[in-house]
Amino acid sequence: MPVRSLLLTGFRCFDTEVVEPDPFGLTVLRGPNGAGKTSVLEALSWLATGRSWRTSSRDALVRAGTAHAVLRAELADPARRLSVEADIPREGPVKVRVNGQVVSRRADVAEALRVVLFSPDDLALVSGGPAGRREMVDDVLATRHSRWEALQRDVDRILRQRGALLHQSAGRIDTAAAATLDVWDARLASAGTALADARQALVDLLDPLVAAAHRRIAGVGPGVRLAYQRSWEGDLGDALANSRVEDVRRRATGVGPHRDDVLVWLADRPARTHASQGEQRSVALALRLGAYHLILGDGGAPPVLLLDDVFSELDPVRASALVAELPTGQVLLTTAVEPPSGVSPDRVLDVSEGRIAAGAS
Amino acid sequence: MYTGPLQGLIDELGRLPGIGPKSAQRIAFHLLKIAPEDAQRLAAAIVTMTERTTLCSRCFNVAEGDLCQFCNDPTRDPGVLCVVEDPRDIVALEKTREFRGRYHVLHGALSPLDGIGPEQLRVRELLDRVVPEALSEIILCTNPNLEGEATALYIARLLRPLGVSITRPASGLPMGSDLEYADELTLARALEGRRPVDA
Repeated sequence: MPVRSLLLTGFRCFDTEVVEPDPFGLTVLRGPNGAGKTSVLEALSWLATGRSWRTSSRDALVRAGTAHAVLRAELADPARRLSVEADIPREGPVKVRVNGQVVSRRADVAEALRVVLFSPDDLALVSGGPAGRREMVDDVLATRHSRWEALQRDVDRILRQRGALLHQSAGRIDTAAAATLDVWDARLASAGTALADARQALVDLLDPLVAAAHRRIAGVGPGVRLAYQRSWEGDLGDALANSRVEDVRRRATGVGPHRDDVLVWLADRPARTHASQGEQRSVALALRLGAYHLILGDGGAPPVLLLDDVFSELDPVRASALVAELPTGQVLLTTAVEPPSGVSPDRVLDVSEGRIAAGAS
Repeated sequence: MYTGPLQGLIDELGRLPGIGPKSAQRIAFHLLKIAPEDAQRLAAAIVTMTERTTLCSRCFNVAEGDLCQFCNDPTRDPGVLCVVEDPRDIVALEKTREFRGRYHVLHGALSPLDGIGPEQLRVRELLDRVVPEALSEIILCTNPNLEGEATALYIARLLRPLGVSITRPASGLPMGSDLEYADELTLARALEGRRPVDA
């Protein structure tokens, strides 16, 4: 659902501030660097995903001198009042509520609020290591069905249990320890294969959407292709058995979904190593737009698009291509520079030193 | 800080599970107010419990004496054993009045993260019961979470060569509740385990 208003209390540099973006069009947040523009997008992204792309530290999120940050989004649901609220204490468990009811699953929040974020850090999706690409795929899976989020948690916990066991074995493993390792391997083989299958199916769905988005941003030229690459061949249980000696020696699990990658190709060459930085940026945008179109295709209200400082990184041609790509739903965009021509905001908000005011467009 | 004995009690209470410093203080001041004989009775109850309660030497349930009430009960089916993680699970199973066999308490589940391996559980003792007691069926009633499932799988693999039938309770929908309120993971699991209807 589009966001009608967002209340920020004790979040980042904000004391108590209300943001009212245009529910159905483009809202531009403008202001100098460090004014808090990105923090507004961060707050919405936090509500939708339960974490921040900027930091994993609660201390950074909660305003100095306060114990809690409270975020509350009122959504523009035509049928009923709908709100998502998060209480983020400096320490201790976070509470997320949808219409006042505490929820614990991402999919429950996703029914009310879904976002797709573009940030300058997205370049690392293409140029960085596999962790960021796995996280992007897992994020989309978690919003599509709570089953995938539960599976991700299971795999994560099995890996930590197995890691603890490998660590305790201190490089040598007797028959008794081997028997317990067998059990964790069996669990990892089934849960890990299920997760890799789910990710592979999602990447297969994303592939044509990303390629199409890339053609629109970069114009005709070399095509983008995605492929999910497992860190093992054949049966995961066999692969774990084969890597056991090495795993025990290194005290780490060498194969499994935590070592997989999403390969990104540009003109049949790995984009990570063979594309220029400008090309990598277009591919990163295409990945996000592909995810946006995938979520859009799942039905329901379009996800809220959050564009953080994208124009500072794009050349004018790609910037106007991106503007043309902007969907018709709700978009929030931050910029410290004048947006390129062709951007016609429906609402402009001036952000300065933790205050937000309606600006003249 | 309060005077010696009072602070001493607050410290002791604060070590109990689920009791923080504030609750410990409240309980201590409550005990200060009540009649001395009530406080004596509480103290005696704690002492008696710790002195008289032991673990059953066969199944490791809580017991008074060498064997627990179930191991001592001749009407119980000696051939069927239900393996649980915790003595409290036995209370829950007993409420069903469905199970007439005996129990074995592991005192935990496999969790390397918490430093719990098979040696920390009563697994060896379970295996040692199978042949002498001529067990025919063992029901692995560990919790339906990651650690409980792993523990069940581990024990099942050890039991397999012993020729005893090994079962695990089905997972399904809670009775007496509405389908719409079921959490979707439980519901999905229940659908997987669907059975034909006898009509």
